[in-house]
Amino acid sequence: MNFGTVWPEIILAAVGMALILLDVIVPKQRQRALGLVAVLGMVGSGVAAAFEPRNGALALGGMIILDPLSLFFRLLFLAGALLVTLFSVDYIRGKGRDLAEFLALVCFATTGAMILAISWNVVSLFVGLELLSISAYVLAGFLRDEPKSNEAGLKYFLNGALASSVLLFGLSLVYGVTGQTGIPEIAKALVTAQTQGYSTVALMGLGMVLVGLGFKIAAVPFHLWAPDAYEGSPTPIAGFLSVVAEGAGIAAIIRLVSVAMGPLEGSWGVWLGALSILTMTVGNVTALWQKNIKRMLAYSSVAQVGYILAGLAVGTTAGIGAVLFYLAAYLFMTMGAFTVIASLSSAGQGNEISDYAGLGVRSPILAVLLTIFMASLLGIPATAGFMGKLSLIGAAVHGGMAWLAVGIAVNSAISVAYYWLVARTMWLDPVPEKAEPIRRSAELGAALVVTTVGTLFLGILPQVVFFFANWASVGIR
Amino acid sequence: MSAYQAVAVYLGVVLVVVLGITGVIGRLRRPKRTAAKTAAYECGVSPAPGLGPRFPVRFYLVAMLFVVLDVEAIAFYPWGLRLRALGTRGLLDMAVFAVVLAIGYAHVWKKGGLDWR
Amino acid sequence: MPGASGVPLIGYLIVAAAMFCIGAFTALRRTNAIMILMGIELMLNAVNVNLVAFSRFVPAGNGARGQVFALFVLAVAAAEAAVGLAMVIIVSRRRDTIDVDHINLMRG
Repeated sequence: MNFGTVWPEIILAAVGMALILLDVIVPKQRQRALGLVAVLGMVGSGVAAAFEPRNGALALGGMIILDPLSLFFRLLFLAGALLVTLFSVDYIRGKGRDLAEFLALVCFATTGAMILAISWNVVSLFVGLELLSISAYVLAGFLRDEPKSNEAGLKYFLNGALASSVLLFGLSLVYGVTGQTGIPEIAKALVTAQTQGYSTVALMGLGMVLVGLGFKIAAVPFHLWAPDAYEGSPTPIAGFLSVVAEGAGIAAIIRLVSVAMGPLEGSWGVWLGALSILTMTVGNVTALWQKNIKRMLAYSSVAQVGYILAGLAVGTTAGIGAVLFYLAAYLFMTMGAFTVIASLSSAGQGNEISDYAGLGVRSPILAVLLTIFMASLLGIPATAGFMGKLSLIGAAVHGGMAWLAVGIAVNSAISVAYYWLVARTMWLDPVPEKAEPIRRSAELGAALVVTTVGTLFLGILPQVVFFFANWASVGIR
Repeated sequence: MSAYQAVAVYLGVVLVVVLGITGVIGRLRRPKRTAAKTAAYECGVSPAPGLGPRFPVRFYLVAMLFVVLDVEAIAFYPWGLRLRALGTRGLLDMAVFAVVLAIGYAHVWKKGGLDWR
Repeated sequence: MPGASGVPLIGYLIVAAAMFCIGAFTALRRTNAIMILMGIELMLNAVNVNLVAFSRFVPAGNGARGQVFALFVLAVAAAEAAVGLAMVIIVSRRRDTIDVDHINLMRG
């Protein structure tokens, strides 16, 4: 066995373990510095990832594949974790909870997401998924003294565990038919199984895998846990769930479904497309009458998952490339929106949309930034979200699924309503009497700068990331 | 029937079944809500103190720590079976595993998870 | 092809499917969080029965994969159960109920 090719994961896990040891050594008042340890660990892991091979080499006895897609997802998840770390330092300390444990769990969850994304075997994929999920359950319920956070954790756990067992049962059926746990071997064996008439069981297995992953990425009709989990979780974790946890689910779908079901490709893309339209429509329509901004963003992220599924439904290289680009765009804009919300709630403001009245006067910078992120989520030109939607629509049209493009366009129109509501509340509603100006910490400022620059950069100069996304999507089969 | 038609049919069935289940479950569960139904055990002697009087949480804590550390030990079994074949390398790998477990153990210990008082 | 005990594969699969369905029904139907957790554990054990049964019957040389997979499932299930129980305990101490129908601070 050679560990040499999983250094990014080893580094991140080691930093997580170092953090829980430092937790008992470093006195409580000085734990703020542990944020720096986590940040350095994540940067180190990213540097290690950049030096990994990316020629499709296999590692750890064929459990791990190192291709451009692995590099893309590793960097995506690390960037997400880095932003979460930056903007949770004050938030978690403000709530009086243990920062070291929190950061350690973020490291472990990210390690799990990375293992999942580079897996070339269903066993390691499952272990990565569970490392991510179990850490994420704890993170969602991390604010032990807040009933809402307890509730979010419990609901996320019950739904997630149910999803895991459905997914596993599906994997066990696939193993039974193919006798294989390696993803490419499964794909090969499925073709043989088809000729021998065992394909029904295998299809049942793959269907259950899809249902399980559908739960994890909160696709309709398996999305009902998402709003509660987002609303109740600590705000940084709401961002983490929507970027890293959902991104990992998408990675699993690309690895597992696109590769294993590759030989069976055909009209299942249509069903995935139908699921995508359903997901984006339900997400957007339900978001219309939300009063809590985190809950609204939860439904908005359900809708975004719908857009991403559209690219997977198309299934062409351009489609997968568009999905990857959209994930990068989604990272910056969603994380940005949650960062603004976190900085407001650290300053003692509520999470109801009505609490945002007059924000344009009280804190013009935060209001401008939130407007930019909302514009990007909506898909206004010159933002990352616009380029993302454009590439998804382009892939759908070229892939011969123009109706998906229409669905995306119609849904963007629906989503104008609720983003406008927030913008109007911020800029046009009168300032409440006892409003205080809002202060920000250095970490939050850094997170805001990164997300804003990222959102605008991907909107104005998308070529670099486009190139990377398309490079990563070539040759995944 | 070609393979992808079968997948399409299967996905359709999955969708219908899940929607069906959620619909049916929602309908089924509403009328039958009695205290007996929500109890941990449906028959026999009811577990005496119920949820009311507080049970010291340290019992649960010890039980949970036991479950985790106990079951993780199964990772040693396959290694033990192939001890000689895996050789020094296997020993090193299991040492890494043991160190990771020990770190968790140390954290619990220092955090007071093992203190009975 | 019967196993060493003479029980054919289908026998194990029926047991596993029954366990899975009972578990799924429990998880969806019951409102007591502990019962839901038990249902989920039953589903995971059904997976293990499946994996171990299949590992006995798949073509030679690939059997160990299923057994190793089952070991991973066991280990992960234990971690999951511990985390789940911890959450249930926190909720029950705070609310005096673990009925998921009553744990509904958030709506919409």
